[in-house]
Amino acid sequence: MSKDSELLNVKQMAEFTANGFLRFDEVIPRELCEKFYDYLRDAKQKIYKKRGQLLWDTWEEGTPVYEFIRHPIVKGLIYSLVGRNPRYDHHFPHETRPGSRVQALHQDAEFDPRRTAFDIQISFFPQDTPKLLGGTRFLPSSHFRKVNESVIGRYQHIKGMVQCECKAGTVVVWHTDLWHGAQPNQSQDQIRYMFKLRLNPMERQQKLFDTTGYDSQEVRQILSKRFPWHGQSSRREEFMRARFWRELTGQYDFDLDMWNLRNEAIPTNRYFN
Amino acid sequence: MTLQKILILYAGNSSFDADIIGFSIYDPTEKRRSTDVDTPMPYKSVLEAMKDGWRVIQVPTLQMKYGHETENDYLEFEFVLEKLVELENE
Repeated sequence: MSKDSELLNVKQMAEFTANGFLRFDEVIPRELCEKFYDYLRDAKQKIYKKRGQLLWDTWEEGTPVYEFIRHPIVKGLIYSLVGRNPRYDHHFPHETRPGSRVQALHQDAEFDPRRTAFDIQISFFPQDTPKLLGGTRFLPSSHFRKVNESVIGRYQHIKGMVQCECKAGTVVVWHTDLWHGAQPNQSQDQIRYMFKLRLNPMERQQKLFDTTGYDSQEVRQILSKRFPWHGQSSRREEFMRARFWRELTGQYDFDLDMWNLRNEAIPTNRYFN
Repeated sequence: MTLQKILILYAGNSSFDADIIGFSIYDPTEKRRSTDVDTPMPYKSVLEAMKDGWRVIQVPTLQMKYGHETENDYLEFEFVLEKLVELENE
């Protein structure tokens, strides 16, 4: 790949808006996956780096994470979602041992009142992660629902939930408010590793991606996607998606089915003007 | 001994015959519950569960979200049901 970074296009950004995540299968080369696997097995790597520093200053050259975040696809999704100079929030090498229990469904972004600005989390799976090893489960299109972290722990099964079963080298980038949890590792003797990295934006998250065709029919179809678990509440999701899309694209007259525009029609009384 | 099983059904709207969109089961007699993401819904509706002997002990409160009319948060229509099971003396 010759380009330094691959910015997301409008279809990818619309998918991120509708689903709350994007998945890139087997994009990290095998050699880097192997280096990364060894890095994750080193317990010292669980120690946070200096929090609040710029991402690009966080890892030293020659380390697997330095190389990973500069991969053109990873760099492109970072640029597109949180800008050129995001802040390092924290990272964590997740280690799920055989016999582990299911992790309760939760949302990481506790106490976060932001409506359109958002953090991202990048999950990297450096080893093959079949169902038996229990990859992360996500509830697509749950990211616009503020639920204060672990309050949703009693929810077990929701229609449309997905588990990240994937090959080594797969990257998932997700909105921090997406509901998720670790699936149990049901293997006999294999530890599952997953690297997670959280980033904060340091610039307005607007027009950071390739916005060509932001208002196309295809984009509108993606943004109008229905999820069975939304039930009768699905229309409210469209309000939130349209508002998010307005902020991402800077097009404040954008709407889906006139949901927001209708509510914004509050004419002033011209008689007094 | 009598034990209580709890089934929580999440419906698409507040009607007892609305489609079920999620569920949780808390069963003290169960050894291991399914954690598969594609576990099928146990019933089509709350009404179907009632036909199978589940007793409704809580229905969702209906409320207007003033100031937040266009936002979602928790699963809105949560029905809690119970079934009592007798354990034979061992």
